[in-house]
This record gives sequence, C-alpha cells and structure tokens, in this order.
Amino acid sequence: MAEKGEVKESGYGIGIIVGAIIGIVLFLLTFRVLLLAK
Amino acid sequence: MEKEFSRRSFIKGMALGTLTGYFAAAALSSTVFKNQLLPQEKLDLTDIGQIQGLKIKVISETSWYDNNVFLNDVKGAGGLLVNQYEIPWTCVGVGAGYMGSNLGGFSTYLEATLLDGTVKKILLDTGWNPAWMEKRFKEEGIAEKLAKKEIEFLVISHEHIDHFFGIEATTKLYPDIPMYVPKGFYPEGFDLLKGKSFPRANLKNDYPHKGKVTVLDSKKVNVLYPGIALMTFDVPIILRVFGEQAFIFNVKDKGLVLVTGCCHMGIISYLEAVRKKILGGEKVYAVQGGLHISPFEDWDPQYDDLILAFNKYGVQKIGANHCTGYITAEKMIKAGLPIVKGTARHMSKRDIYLGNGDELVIA
Repeated sequence: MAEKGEVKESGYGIGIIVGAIIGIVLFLLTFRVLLLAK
Repeated sequence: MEKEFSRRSFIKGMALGTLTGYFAAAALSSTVFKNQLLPQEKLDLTDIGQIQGLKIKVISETSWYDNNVFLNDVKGAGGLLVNQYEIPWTCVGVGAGYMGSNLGGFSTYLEATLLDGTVKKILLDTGWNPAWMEKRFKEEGIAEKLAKKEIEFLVISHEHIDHFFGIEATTKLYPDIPMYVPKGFYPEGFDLLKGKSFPRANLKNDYPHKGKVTVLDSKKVNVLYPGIALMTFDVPIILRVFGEQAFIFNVKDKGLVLVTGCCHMGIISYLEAVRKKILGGEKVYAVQGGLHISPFEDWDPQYDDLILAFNKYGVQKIGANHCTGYITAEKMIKAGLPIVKGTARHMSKRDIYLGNGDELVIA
C-alpha cells in the first residue's frame, strides 16, 4: 500500500478510455475505406 | 495519498485502449451490428410468372450401363479433359448394355399447363444411343408427339455425349424442331446438328436438323412462357464441354420447380442463383434431374457437407436421378431429404430414385 505522502501515478484509466475511442474511430475509418470504397 | 498525472501511464493505457477499441469494433460490426453496417445485397429479381401444373416424365436417365467400360473409354483416350468427339466410345460387346452397346442417354419430357389452360410440351435433352432413345421415345409416346410436331421445342441442357449425341433420334421424327442450346456449344456440336459424322466417336446424324437453333447466354433469365424459364451457367465441364442450362418452373400455390440435366454448376450454386435472380426464389418446392454428386459411385467427405447444405433449403420433393448417384441418394434419405422413389423399370437399376418411365407431377 502506498504510504502517506507517497506520490501515485495516474492517467492509465483515462488513457484506456481515450485509446478505445481512437481505436473505434480508426476501425470505422478503415472499414469505410476498405469495405465501402467504390 | 497524492496522485500525479503520468504521461507514461496515459500512453500505456491509450495503446491498450486503442487495440481493444479497434478489435472490439471489428467484432461487433461483423456480428451484432452486421445488418446496420454492411450494405444490403442488391438483388435483380425476375418475375417469370406462373403455371398451373407440371408433369415431369423420365424418358431415360441411364446414360451408360457399365461405369467401368465408360471410365476405361475415357482413360484410354487420355483422361477427362479429352474432346468427347474424339473418344472411341464402346458400342459393342457390353454384357450389361443395351443390345451390347454401353451407350444409353438422358432425356426428360415436360408438360406444363399454363394459367390459361394451354399445355406446353417440352423435351429436355435427346440422349446418346439413337437406337435406345428411339425405343424409349416409342414406349413413352414421345415418338408420336414428335412426329405430330406437338412438342414445342427441344432444350439441350449441355453438349455432353449422353444428353446431345442422340440428336438423330429426335430429328428423324421432327427435323425442324426449334432448339435451345446454352452458350458455349462447340463447332463440332453445330456440325453434328447439320449432319456431320464423327466416326472415331461412333457418332453420326443421318437426319440433319433444319429448324431454328437459339443460343442462350447467362446474362439474363430467359423466360420462354409465363412461368417457364431457363437459366444458363458459364461452367467448364469435363470432356471439353462448356455451359449448362436448366429449367425453372413457377407452379401456382406450390413454388419453384427446378429441372436439371446434369447440374454441373452444382446444386447449391443453382439454388443460390435462383434465390438471387428469380422472384420467389427463396421457396424452391421441388428439384428434379441429375444433381451430379457421385455419378461414378465414389464418395468424398465434402459431399456430406453438400448434403447438409442442400437440406437447409427446405426443398419438399427431390426427383433426383442420373448423375446424382445411388450413394448420394442413400445418404440423402438418411439425412431426411425427401427423395421421390422410382420403380426400377426400363433398365433403371434401382428404385431408390426416379428411373426410366417414372413420373413426378406437381399441381
């Protein structure tokens, strides 16, 4: 357990959320380019 | 405890999140949201109309009598890709044959009643051995119908020996019978129609065809009469043949009835083509004719999958015969497919499926 006064690093959780959004957008873009391209 | 934003942790999280998000989106879009995201299949459906009823009579489904003799003829000539007009087919000395000849033939007589009550009589294929075909034509009353020109036209499903080489059995009785052939007919086929002989293949036509020959291609569904259509398939076939056509009848209150010669395009391809091109194609009521699965009575495990796939189409009557193969019929019956039994007459060996002289009536 972190002792009192110890500094804990944060940002991992928010990184996952931001990454997931980027991932979905990336997929949709590639899907559009690869599958729906005429 | 104090928390401090770490760029390193954020980037690690974002990398994991990006991968997860990407693959999760891929998985969901191909499953749960498939219908919302993927474009709908565009179907160009043809309404072929309807008929009241259909009578299908098997004139001859016995193309040859001894498989080993047939296969030896093919092997001796160089294999399955050799030109069928150059193979010396065995016509004498075959114990199981018709008067010693191994040659038989395939031919089916169709009688369709249109909605206005008119009856259209059609001949599908003309067999191989003229002597055998003349006998069968006489026995089933086809000879009389041909002589009186009661038959509307002759459809050649494909150019194969057992479906086309017996042309003189038909032209002898009705020289100017209108004909439909599939695109892909070779020059030899047209030469045979005109009366050319092919001595090496023990093939001749002493009664040249004098009527109109219409070549049908695969670009569209060819509606011949309301409720009666032909579909052509661009398919390469053994013995250097190309193209096959098959019938689609739309029987009122029943559904579609597919009638084939050999079905070299494959029964599943045929059913799928009908589903995609014919209005009402999702409801096939009956299939009749050769299904080309185990013509030489050999079996491959992939044919089991074919039977499973066929079973899913919910066809209610299967009047299979000819190149379907007895093993296939046995397996289909075991799988619960509705195979219509025959009577094993006129040199058809077994009653497991429709044989020579047997009828299938859809009305």
